[in-house]
Amino acid sequence: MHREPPAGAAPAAKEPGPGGLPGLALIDLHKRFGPVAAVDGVSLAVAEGELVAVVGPSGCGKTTLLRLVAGLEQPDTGRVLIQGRDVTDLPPERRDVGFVFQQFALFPNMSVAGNVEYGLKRRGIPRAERTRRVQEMLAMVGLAELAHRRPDQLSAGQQQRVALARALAPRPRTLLLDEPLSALDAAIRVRLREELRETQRRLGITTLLVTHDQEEALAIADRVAVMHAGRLEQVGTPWELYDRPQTRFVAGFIGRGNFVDGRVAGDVIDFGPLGRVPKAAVPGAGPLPDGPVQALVRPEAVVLQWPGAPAAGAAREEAAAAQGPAGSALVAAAVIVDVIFGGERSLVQLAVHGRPWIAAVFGAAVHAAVRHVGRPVTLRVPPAALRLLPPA
Amino acid sequence: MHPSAGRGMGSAQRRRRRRALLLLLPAAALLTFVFYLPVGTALLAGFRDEAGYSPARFVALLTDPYILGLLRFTAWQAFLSAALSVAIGVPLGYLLANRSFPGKSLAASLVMVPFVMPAITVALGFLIMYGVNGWFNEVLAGLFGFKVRVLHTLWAIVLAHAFYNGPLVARMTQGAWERLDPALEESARTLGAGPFAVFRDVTLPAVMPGILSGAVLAFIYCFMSFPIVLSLGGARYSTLEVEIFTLMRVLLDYEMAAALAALQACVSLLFAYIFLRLEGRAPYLFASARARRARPVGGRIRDAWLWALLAALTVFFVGPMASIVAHSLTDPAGGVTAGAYARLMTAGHDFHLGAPPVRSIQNSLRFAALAAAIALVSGASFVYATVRFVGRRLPFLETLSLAPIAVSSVALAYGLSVAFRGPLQVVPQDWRIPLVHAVLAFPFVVRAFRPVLQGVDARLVEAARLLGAGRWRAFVDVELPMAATGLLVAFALSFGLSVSETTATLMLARPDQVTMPVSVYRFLAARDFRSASAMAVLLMAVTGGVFWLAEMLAAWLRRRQGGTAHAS
Repeated sequence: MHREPPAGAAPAAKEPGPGGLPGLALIDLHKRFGPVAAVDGVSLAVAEGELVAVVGPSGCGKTTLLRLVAGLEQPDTGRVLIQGRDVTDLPPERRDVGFVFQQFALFPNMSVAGNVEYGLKRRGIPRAERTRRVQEMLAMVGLAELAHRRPDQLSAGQQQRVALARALAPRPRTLLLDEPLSALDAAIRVRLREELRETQRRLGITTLLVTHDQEEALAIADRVAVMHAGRLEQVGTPWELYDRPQTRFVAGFIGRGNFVDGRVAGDVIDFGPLGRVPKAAVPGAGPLPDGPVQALVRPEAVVLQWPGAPAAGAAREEAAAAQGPAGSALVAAAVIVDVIFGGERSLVQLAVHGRPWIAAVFGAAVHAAVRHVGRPVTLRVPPAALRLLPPA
Repeated sequence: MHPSAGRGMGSAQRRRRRRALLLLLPAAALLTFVFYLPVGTALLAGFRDEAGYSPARFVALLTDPYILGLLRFTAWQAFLSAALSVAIGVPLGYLLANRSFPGKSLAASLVMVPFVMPAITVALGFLIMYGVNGWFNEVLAGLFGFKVRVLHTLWAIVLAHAFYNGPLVARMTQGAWERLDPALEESARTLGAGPFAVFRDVTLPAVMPGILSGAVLAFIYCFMSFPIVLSLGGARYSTLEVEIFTLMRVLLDYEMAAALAALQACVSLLFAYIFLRLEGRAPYLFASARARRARPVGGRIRDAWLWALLAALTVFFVGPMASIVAHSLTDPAGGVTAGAYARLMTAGHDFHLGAPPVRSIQNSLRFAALAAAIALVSGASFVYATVRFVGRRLPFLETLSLAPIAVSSVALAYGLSVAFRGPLQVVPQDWRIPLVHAVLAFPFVVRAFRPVLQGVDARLVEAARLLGAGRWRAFVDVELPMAATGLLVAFALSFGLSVSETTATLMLARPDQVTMPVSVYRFLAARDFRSASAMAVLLMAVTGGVFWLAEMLAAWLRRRQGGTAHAS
């Protein structure tokens, strides 16, 4: 089965690079390792200067995809184009890419400066120019005073910066990053990913980043490609992926959410005990035929009402919603199980008809939620917040 | 860090120290009584004169042009041999670490067999293969119409030494190459380095320490070599060791022999120290958890030289061994016969051996099992104490533990024969040869077991202890299973070394204690080439079988431990 290129992939084609070509284009790449199809028909266009993150669970083939771009693996079929030039048959050293490895792979037998200088040397750049460029790159990553250290004398964060400086020193046309931050501590990871993003923007270099961390991908990428079992499930801006996931996998992998099963019947969608809503009120439901559907509800779309608030008793309202005509929202009686404090936004764990739900609460509502732990509340979901998914 | 002076920790600290000393005891006893005291006494003879002890004789040696000439030749042939060992071992190590080819697993498990072949067997193989009418020259004459004189030249010595030490260099090269993180080579590629530049800038610096330590070790062995030089070099070539043997056994000039042995020990201990310093350097910096993927040697033109290399290596290593097998099966009247084997198995008292041939097989196996057990217990507990309780490298102690390979085996055997008649009389006859073999195998057990134990994370032991296991329990449950493959390799190596040891056995064994290599030697001395070949084949089968068995067991253990063996 080959998925249609999703709507989210379009912007790249609309943002032409020099000569109207994307900075990086992958055309129907396939790579098998024995019985395993590591990359199974991937096409992707990355605009000049764009940062695209490929995100997916471990073993989904994302690192193999990156290695195919770098020339460290040869595809079985398919092409790799860098600024319109077909590089599929070129060895890695002639592709003009910068690559940052997961564990950085700094040469232990060279100093920091020697590492950064290496790519310049191999390109035959004269010594004076090399020295200048090394200083410039080390200054850029803030390590000028560590130029003569050996890599094993650096912290992980410093090693990461050296690896980035080394990859960028020869001014490659494409930057490839393989889990560049996963070897770092949580605190430094967030700071370095912002530095990475800023550097990439400033240099305007076409970048493909691979990570298993969806939060990292959403935080720094212009667009995110979700990869699953060797295929791209969906490509789009972080907001598109979050707000309009097109597959159950993407919906579950990007962000958190609640999944509810329902059934299209005529001009209403019946969500069983949660009630019925008019088909027309649910975005994207118009063309759906009768039959089962699944909907995603993001935590922030769940509205909680405390007992004693103006709304009537939850049980009565729920019964009305389930039996009566299509209501204005999904309604259910819920019990607050726990509250996970998260600063500006906290998550409330609920039990709804015996199934776990999560809802996001902000500001003062956190106090109310904590006070109601173990007690019943009413849960509402406006139909406009429902995101329909194709049947799994 | 352990508070060494903390009063509150005193008893735990004392317990630690007591355990460490207890573990060091077997090694200390073995090395002191079966090596350092006898050898020390023997070497001291070189410094004794009428007035007492003086370095006069030792100094006189260093100014004697004949001795200096010997020293020069000994070093020169050792250098050439080490160079050829590198030339053969590095490509072989490359193939084992990076490529897959038909028969690779067999080659990998049997690669160390030449290293533990008795010199006399290697000499026999070379005589049959490279002799003027040997098949090597017959093939050469058939193909190109000329023959080369190999035997009784320097090249015979150098080739035989490379046959021994090439596998050693290969093993060390392979080890360093397998540890090298492939991402380092890949990142050099992405930075614009072509295959040659990657090799020069990344691969070679990573592999070099392994190659160099292999080369230094090969140099030490060749510097000490004795039966190969004696049997293949002919009368023209003499090394220090041959001279020591001649002085001791023919001229009965023990003082001179002892002084020469002391000189030789100084040189080889110096190289042993260099070896240890090299070994402690850099390679771990290049290490990674990611396993290298072995690429098959394919059918492309680019791989043609690899096939040629494989063929050459096969001829070089399998040739002499196959020659012995073929010779043992040749009927003097023409055709093929297993008569030589039948004779070995059924013959009663053989007057060349002084015992029935079967007896020598039984002796070899019994001695080897005992020697390997002693070497394993003392070596493994020595490693355990230094790795777990000391936790830092002790170059002096390590050089001391390596000394048995750096001291003339003639001097060792002489010192021991004196000691067994004197202070070591209490040692039962049947334990003497195994003890000597255990001393010789000790350095190898240490070398094989140390890296494996270092690879077992000490925190696993701490975790087991926090879960309620005692120190011994934690060792049995955690470290032993993970280090078992290393112990197996060490056992196989010790077993093989014991089975093949010739010089000391020849000088120490009573007639009823004859072993397989001694039988080969006696058969050869009696010009009975066929019996010698048959016995040599059985000998190779025993050592090869032990290595193969150890490899199978290790593979089984790795499978049983499942995914823990290789990091992801």
